[in-house]
Amino acid sequence: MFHLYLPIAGNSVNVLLVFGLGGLVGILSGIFGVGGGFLMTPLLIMIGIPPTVAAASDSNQIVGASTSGTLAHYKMGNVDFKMGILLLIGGVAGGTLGVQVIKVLRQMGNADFLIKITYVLMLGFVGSYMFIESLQALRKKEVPAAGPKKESKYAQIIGKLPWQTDFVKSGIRLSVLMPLVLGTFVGILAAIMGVGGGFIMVPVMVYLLRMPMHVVVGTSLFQILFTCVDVTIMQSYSNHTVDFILALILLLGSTLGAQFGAKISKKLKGDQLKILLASLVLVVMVKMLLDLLLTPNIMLALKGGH
Amino acid sequence: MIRNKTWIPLFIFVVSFFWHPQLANSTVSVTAKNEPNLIAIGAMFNGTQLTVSGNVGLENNVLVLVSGKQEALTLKKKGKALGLLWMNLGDVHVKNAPSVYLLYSSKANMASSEQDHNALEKLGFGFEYLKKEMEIEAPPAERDTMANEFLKLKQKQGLYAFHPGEISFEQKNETEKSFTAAVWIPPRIPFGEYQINVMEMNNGHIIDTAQHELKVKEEGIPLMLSSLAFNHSLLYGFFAVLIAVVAGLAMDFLFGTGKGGGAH
Repeated sequence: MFHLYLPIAGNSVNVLLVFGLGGLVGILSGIFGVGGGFLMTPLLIMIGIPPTVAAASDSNQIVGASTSGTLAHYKMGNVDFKMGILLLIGGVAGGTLGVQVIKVLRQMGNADFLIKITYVLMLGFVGSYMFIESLQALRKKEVPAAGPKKESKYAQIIGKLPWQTDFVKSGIRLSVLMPLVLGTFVGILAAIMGVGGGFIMVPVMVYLLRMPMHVVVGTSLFQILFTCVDVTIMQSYSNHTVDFILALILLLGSTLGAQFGAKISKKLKGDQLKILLASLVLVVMVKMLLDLLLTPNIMLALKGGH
Repeated sequence: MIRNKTWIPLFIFVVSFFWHPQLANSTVSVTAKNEPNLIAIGAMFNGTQLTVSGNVGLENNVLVLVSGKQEALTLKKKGKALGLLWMNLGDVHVKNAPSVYLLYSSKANMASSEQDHNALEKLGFGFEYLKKEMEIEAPPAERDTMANEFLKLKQKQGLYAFHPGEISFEQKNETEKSFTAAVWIPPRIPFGEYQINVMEMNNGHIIDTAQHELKVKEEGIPLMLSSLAFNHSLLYGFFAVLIAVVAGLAMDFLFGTGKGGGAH
């Protein structure tokens, strides 16, 4: 009962289970502005979807979730289009470069090792930093989640870069080079790690671009939307791994979840959001680390996936 | 001269027509049928039950095997990197392994001891036999482990299974009984053609066999979508994006606040 056959995945799934998974990830997407690919793909593999189909179909559902999420945040005035487009240009360039990097790594062998280590280190570093920083900010209480107060060395350096411009929505003045370079960096990492990159992009926006948290979430979703449109079309065309039925059930759950997520996001303070995202990132990191350390049940795996 | 020799093939034909070797303890030949003989994978398909039934001699046992074509697979081998971290290290190529192998036997203790496994293997059935038949590109020391892991993976997918003692009998008369095997076809079954082999056994020997074909094919929405995905992949990609965007907009229309502005 409630089962549907997925023609590309070649398996049947419980509709309610997939709908529930979509809803859960959609809420996270709406709250934190992350695509949720780093969470959804392993969950789909766990319910029997082949890894390549899980990753590609997830991108498809993120298109729906981030459309809904972006629109919800746009209505709340939380999308910095200027910043988003610059990050997107950098992200596309970085993604293309990252695909070439991964090709070279695969030829050298041990690419999987580098990918997983990068994953664990990035998640561990980003999660720990955000967690500690948000905890300190919450303890001070009075400090709102606004920009920096002191002129740090970092602020002085980025202040001297050429082509400074105002990002009105974010309320900051930065060089155009910053989002372009950082977008490229995230694009490279996202391509290597095989994910949308939202969970790297959000900390980059908060800590390196110094954008206010509420604008970060909307802008990140805007950027993820376009990245996932590209990935869905490319995966459909090159690898035939997008399962439309799976994506449709997921996105019905996730678009609904994203709406609730956006509302929850509005009720939470910037530091509360940060500490929740940091906890989530750390949980995923610990899960990945355990997968690496514990002896697997079966010593063979199907090809593909992260 | 030529005319004189034509009686030889004629004689062989007539003799073979009337002469049948009498099989030990077999008073009836195995008959079998399967229902259905075509499995259509539609939108609601979640695996199905295939009934294989027929008649055999009263004292005899039955083996039923549903098997797919031999396939070549490339899998990822897990190993320890830096002596600490488990991850995919290199490929393992497996050849000569059937895509599906679902074996049912009427004898419950058919897999309880090594002796039983050997008996089954001698007949050309069972996982031990498969292990010997499949070709695995791996160092000799690892070959057996990899073969076992391959069988584990296939069993986890539901594509390989052995069900001893899961064929039921009902006595029909003094010489024969009917058998029924309820074969579970997993939802993951790839579409294609399959063989159903029924073996009638007596004293550990196969005394008669019957063979049927089973077809598994897609129909309806799954067929339409997979043909679009594989034959018009770019269109499929755009279609998938369009539907996702429309669903996102529809959800926003239904559940969105519609209010602008407002930061923290």
